[in-house]
Amino acid sequence: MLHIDKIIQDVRKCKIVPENDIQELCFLAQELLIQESNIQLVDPPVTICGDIHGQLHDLLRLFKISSEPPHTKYLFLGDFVDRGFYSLETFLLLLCYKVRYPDRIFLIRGNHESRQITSVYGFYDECMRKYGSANVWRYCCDVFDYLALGAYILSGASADGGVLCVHGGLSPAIETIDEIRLIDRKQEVPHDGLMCDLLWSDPEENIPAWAVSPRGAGYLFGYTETERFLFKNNLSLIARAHQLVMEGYKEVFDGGLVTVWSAPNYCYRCGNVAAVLTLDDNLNRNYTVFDSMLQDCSEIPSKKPVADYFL
Amino acid sequence: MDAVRPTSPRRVKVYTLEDDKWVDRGTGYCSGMLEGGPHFLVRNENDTSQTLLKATIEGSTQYQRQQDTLIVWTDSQGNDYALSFQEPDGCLSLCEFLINIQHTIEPNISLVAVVSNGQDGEVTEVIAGPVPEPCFPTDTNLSELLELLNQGAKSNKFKDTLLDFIKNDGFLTKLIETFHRNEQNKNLVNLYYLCDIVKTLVFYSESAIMETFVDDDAIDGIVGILEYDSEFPNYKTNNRQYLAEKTSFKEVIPIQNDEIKDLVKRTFRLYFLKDVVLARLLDDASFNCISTMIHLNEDQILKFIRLDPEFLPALFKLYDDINDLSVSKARDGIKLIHQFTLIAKKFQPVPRSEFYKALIDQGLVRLIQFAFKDSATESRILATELIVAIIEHDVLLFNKNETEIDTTLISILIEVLLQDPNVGLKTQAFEAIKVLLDPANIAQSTLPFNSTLGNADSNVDTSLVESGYLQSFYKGAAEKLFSPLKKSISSPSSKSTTITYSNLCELLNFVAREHDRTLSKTFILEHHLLRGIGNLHHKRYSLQLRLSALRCIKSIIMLDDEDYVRYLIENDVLHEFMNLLRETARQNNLVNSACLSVLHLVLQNKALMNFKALRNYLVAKYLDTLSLDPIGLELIASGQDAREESLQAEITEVSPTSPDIPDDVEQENSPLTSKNARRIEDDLATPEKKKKLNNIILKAGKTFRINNYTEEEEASET
Repeated sequence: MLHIDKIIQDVRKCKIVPENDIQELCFLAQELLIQESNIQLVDPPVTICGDIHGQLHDLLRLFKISSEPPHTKYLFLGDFVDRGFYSLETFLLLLCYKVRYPDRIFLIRGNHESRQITSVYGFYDECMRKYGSANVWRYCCDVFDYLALGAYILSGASADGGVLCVHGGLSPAIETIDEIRLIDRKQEVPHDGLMCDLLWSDPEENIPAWAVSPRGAGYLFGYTETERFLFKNNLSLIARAHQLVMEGYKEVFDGGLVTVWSAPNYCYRCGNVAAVLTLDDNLNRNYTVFDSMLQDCSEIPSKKPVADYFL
Repeated sequence: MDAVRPTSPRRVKVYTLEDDKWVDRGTGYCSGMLEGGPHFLVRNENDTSQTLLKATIEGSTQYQRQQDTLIVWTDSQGNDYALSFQEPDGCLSLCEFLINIQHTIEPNISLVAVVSNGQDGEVTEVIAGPVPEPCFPTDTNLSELLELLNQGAKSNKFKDTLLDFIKNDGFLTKLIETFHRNEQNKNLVNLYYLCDIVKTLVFYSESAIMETFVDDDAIDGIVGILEYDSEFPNYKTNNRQYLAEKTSFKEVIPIQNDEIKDLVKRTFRLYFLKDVVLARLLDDASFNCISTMIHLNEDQILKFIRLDPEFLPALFKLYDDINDLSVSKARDGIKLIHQFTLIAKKFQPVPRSEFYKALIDQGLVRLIQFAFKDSATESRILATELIVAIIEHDVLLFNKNETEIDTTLISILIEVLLQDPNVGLKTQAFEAIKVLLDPANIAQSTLPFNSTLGNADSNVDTSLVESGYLQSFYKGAAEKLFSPLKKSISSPSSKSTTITYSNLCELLNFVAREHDRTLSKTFILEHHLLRGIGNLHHKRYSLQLRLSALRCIKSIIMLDDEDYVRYLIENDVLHEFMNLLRETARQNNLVNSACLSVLHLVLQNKALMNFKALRNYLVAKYLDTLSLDPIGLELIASGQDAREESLQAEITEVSPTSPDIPDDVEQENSPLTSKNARRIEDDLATPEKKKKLNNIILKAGKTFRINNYTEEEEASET
C-alpha cells in the first residue's frame, strides 16, 4: 500500500522516492485522470497557477502563501517540468496531492508534458541523473497522456460567463468548447491540430485573427477571434499560462484573457515575479504576486551530482 | 593582432572650436598615418598639396565617436577638433585605426562612443582604452583584482597577459593560497571576493582557463572558493566534501594509459563544475565552452576504448565465467558500457557506428546475455537501455546477416516484455521491439556487415533487406510476441496485464500501419488477433487497457482497409467496444471521449465505402447504444439520409471512383489520416498485391465471405 503522506513529506525535502512507489503513484493517478473530461469542470472558488517548471521550492512557497492543499482548491495550467532542477519532485508532489485530494487540485496538460519536449529541456536528463535509468521518466510521461486539456470554471452564484482555462490558447479548428469533447486525448501531444493548439498557441495584441506562431506549433490569435470565442461560448475570461510575464500576470483584450505565470525568477535568473489568480464564488479576480525567496540552506537550487563514475 | 596600416583617404569636414563656436576649416580627405608617429592628416579636396589638419595621436587623449559620422577630441594643448565624415563607413574606418593604435603604439589614448540613452541625455561607452595589467591576489587587493578582471574581459591583450599569469606564474596557486588563508581567518568579505573572481574567470569562457581549474592541484581549491557565494550569504555548499567523499572513480578494467586516465578524471570534474557547482551560473557562452571541452575529451576517450587492444577484450572476458566474487564487477561492467553507449549517442553517425560496432565485435552479446539472466533488476534495465541506444542508431548492427532478423536479440526482448515482473522494463522492451520492427530504421541502416551492398544499388538493396527482414519476423518471432492475444488471461485487471497487453495493442497497431500491408494483414487476420483486441474492451480489464485496445481498433479502422473492416464486421469485433460506449455514455470523461472519437471518425468519413459499411453495421446492430449520444444519433441519421438519397438517385447513380478522404477529417488525427491517404494510394497502385492477399486468405482460413457486400460496392473499389 502506498503511503501518500509519507511520499509528500519526502518529496518536499527532495528525498529520493523509490522507483516502485513512483510507478504505483503514477498508476493511481492514471485511474483518477481517466475519469476527468477533456475540459474538466471545476467549481469556484479556485486558485489558478501557471507554469512551475521544476522550481519545487517556489511551488512550496506558493503553497505557503496561498495555503496548503486541501485548504485551497488549486488548478495548475501545466508545464510542471523542465528547466528547473526539481522537475521530478514538483510533478510528484502535485500528483500526490491529486491522488490524496482529487477534488481539491486539478492538473491540466502543458506543452512541456510531452516525451519529445522533456527529452530536450531537462526532465529526462534529471530522471537519468537521479535514477540512472529512464523508467521514472517513462512512468511520468504515461501520466502526461492522461492529463485533461483544459478546465471550465462556472459560477452557480453569478450570472457572468464562465472561465476557460488552457495552457496555451485557442485553435482555429474549433468554434465551441463542446467540440473539444471529441478528442481522444490519451496520446503524445501531436505536432498540429486542435489538441496541439490548445497547448501551444499564444495571444497577440497586434493582430486581429490568426497568424503563424514563431514557436513552430500552435497559432497566434488576436483580439477579434478571442472576442468571438468568448461571446460564442458565454465566457468572461480565458485564463492561460505558457508565456513568461515579468509582472507575474498580464490581462489583455480588455480583460478577456489573462496570462498567469507562477515560476518566480524563472530559470533562477530571469528576475521576474510570479502570480496566481484566485477566482471567488462570483468569479471575481484576485491576483497574488510573489517572488523567489530562500527559506533555508537546502533550498539553494542545485542539480544532484552523479556519485559513481566510470568516465 | 593585426598590424596597423595607414587608412585610405575619407572625405571629411574639419572643425575647430573657437570661443564656444565650431568653425568650419574646410573639406578634404582624411587618412590615418603612421610615418613620424601616428596622426590624422586631412588634405584639401581642391588642392591636395594643402594640409587642412595634421593632428598627432598621442598621450592620453580621449577620442569620442558621436552619432555615426563624428570624431571629436581635445588635444594635449587644449584645442578642440571635430571631424565630420561624409559616410559612416569613413568614420568607422578611422575609429578602427584609433583602436589599433591604442592596442599597439599608444596604449594610453582611448576611444569612447557617445550614445543617447533615451530621454535623459547621453552616456559614453569605452570602445578602446588603456589596458589594465592583471596583478596577483593578496589579502588586501581582492576588490581591485575583481575590478581589473571585469574591465580586462574586453581586451585581448589583458586576456593574454592573464593567461600567461595563470599558466606560467602560478596565479591560481596564489589565489587558492589566499583562499585557504582567508578561510582560516574567517574573512568572509575576502571569501566573497574570491568567489566572484572565480566566477568572473568562468565568464571569460576560455577553455585554457577552464582547463587549469580541473588540474589535480587546483580543482579542490576552485570548488572550495565557489562554496562562498555572496548571493547566498548565510549558506555554504559542500562541494569539496562531496568531491572528496561521495564520488569515486571506478575502474572495472584498469586503464594502463595514464594520459587517458587523467582525461577521464578531468572530464568528470568538468561535468561536476557544469552540472553541480556552476549549474545556476553558466551563461550560454561559458556553458558551451565547458560542453565543448567535455565533448573533445570524450571523443578521445571513446577512441581509446575502441582501439585499445586490451580494454574491451578484458572487459567482455569478465562474462565468460561469473562467480560470486566477480558478479559485482560484472554488474559494474554493465554500468560502464551503459555509460559509454549513452555518451556515444552524442556523437556523429560515423564515429558512433564505429564505436557500437567495436562493442559488438568484441563480444557485447556476452554482457547482454549475462544481464538478462541477472537477478538484479538494474542490470536488465541498463542492458535494455543500451540495446535501445544501439538499435535506435542502427537496427542492423546486431545482426550477423542483414536479411534475417537476429532471433536472439528479439527473443530476449519478447521474453522481457511478456514475462519480466518489472513494469518499466516491459515498456523498455516494448520500445526496443518497436525500433527493431520499424521499416524506416531498417531502410536507414548503414548495412555495416556486407560491403558488397554498394552505394549505387542501395535503393534496391534496402527494400530487399527490409522485406527479407520482416518476413523472417513473421515466420518466427511474431507468433510468440502476439501469442498472449490468443489466450485467456488469468489476472485481467492486474497492472502487469495492463502494461503487457497495452504494449501489444500498440505493437499490433504499429505493424498494421507501418509494415508491408500484405505481410502484416495476413498475419493479423490468420491469427485472429483483432478478435483478441476486441475482447480487451471487456470490463474485466482495467480502463487503461480498454483504452489501449480502443486505440488499436481505431487505428485499424483508419487504415480504410476493406479486409480489416470486413473482419471487424463479420466477427462483431466492436461488440465490447459498444459495451464500453454504453457504460460511459453521458459521463464526459476520457474514456467516453475516446469512444466518441471513433464514432466521429466513422461519421466524418462516411463517404468512403469502408466507413459506410461500418456505419451500417453499427446502426443495424447497436441502434440503442448509439441513441445514447448526439454523435451516435448523427450517425444513425446519416444512415437514413443516405438511404433516402440513394432511393432518389437510384437511376442516375455513378459509382465513386476514388476513395478520397474528405477535407473535413477530424483535426486531431491529421498526422494519421495523411499517412492513411498515402496508403490508400499505395494499395490502389498494386491491385495484384490485393488479389494475392485475397487468395492467401481464402486458402488459409476460409474466414471471409464476400457476400456482405453488394456487387456495386465491389466494383467501386477498383
